[in-house]
Amino acid sequence: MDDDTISRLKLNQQITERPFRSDVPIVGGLIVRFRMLWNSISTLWYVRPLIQQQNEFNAALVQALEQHLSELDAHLLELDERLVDLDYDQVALAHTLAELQYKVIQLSHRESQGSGAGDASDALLALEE
Amino acid sequence: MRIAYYSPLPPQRTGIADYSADLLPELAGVADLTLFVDEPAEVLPELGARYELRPAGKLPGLRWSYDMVVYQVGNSLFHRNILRMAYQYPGLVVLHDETLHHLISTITAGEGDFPAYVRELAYDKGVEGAERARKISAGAETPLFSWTLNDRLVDLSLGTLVHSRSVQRRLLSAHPQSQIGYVPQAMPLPARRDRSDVRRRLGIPVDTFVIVTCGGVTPEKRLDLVTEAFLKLRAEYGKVYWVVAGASAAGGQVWYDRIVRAGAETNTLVLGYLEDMQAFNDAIATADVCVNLRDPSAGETSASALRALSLGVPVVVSDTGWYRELPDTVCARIRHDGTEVSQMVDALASWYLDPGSCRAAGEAGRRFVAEQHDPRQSAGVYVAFIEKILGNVEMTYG
Repeated sequence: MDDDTISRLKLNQQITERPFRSDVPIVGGLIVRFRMLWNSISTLWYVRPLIQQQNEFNAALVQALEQHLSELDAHLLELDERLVDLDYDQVALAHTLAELQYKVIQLSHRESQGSGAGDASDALLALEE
Repeated sequence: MRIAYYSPLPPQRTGIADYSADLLPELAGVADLTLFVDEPAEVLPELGARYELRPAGKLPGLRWSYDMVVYQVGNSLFHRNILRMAYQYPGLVVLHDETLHHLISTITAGEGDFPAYVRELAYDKGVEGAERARKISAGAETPLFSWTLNDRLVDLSLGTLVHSRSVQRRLLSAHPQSQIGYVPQAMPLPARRDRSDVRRRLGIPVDTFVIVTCGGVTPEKRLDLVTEAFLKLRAEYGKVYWVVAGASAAGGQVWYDRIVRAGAETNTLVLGYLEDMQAFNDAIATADVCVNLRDPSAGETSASALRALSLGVPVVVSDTGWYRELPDTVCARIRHDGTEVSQMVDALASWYLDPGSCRAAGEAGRRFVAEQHDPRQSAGVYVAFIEKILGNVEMTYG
């Protein structure tokens, strides 16, 4: 979920009553007024609290999502930082290991020149396996 | 000293393959070499006959038989496997291009592995790098030239050799703990050519002022600008000819359409890629002046500019990067500030009008290459640098 999604949710979190309309010529106005009157008698007292409750729920949900997203971003940033640090450490270790391996092979070459013994190539390969 | 040497080799169409072919005879004189390549069967037979050649896949198992593994790394797909091997089994890297961004972006994001690209950017710039990767993904940034992505390779390697003093300074500044050395680009001095003779053989009028542009025809060579300068010079002086020798990148013929529209194709010779180095040298030797721009620069050393100088042909180059390390006596430098065409026309016209100074600049160039870019000298630097690295390893852990 990104910032755009949260913005879209915020735009639509508030639900509102739709005004009655009628396209019927001449008597259209009367029809609208009748519907409004009937609505105020039969359903308005019942629907308005529901709308209010839904709006409160929507607002709380969007706020929670926003906070969750913000916390997630912070966690991801922390994770990114740790991953980058791990990558640096891994590269430094790989460099050190390579240095040590070259050191071993140098010593081994020198020793084999002196004693006629075999060098350490096989041992190094076995270590890697 | 036993060296495992992993590089592209001829006939692969990359300057680094030619570089290796130039360096290897001298390096083989001071070290025992085994060449590792991606496809041994495709290597020029004379190289296969002269050197021990092995498939790169064998390198991991054999590498401890050598005192050092040398990786030749450049910013192109010829180096895809070399880069990966250098990451996995660190050794000595010869970094031909300061930036590796094109190569790395191609083998990560370009092949659908965007997280691997983010990881590379994050290695160079920390978390900010990961953030910028998202902007790059959205097309908001294209930092291929400005962001080098060489940190991981330099940090991993036991040592890094470069062909440019300015690149060496930058790398040392960014990696003060690393071994960063300078080795002159190897450029053997070719036999002198009789200019009239090579012109006749290529059907170029002997009594014209010939400009050559050589090496891969990429957008960075700015042939669009060279075209305009050539056309202006031709309009003013008439007897001007342009030779273009090098493989053309896709879509790289727009400049030639302009030549045709201007009716200048009879004064232009496009030779394409010349596999035979002698033919390539002949094409360059037809010229009074070589124009070799690079904008933007990937921090590379231009082998084709050095080759022109080695043939006694002075160069017109960009006022950037390694080109600034050339002596003033052998080149004219062009600032990339929107006035390139008039600067080029002025530089070329001064040599057109004063053939003596043009020849003198060419001779100075040949002397410069002989003194500073002798492959034997380069081979000596390789060995001395490897000894220094190994000595340093002993100092650290001995």
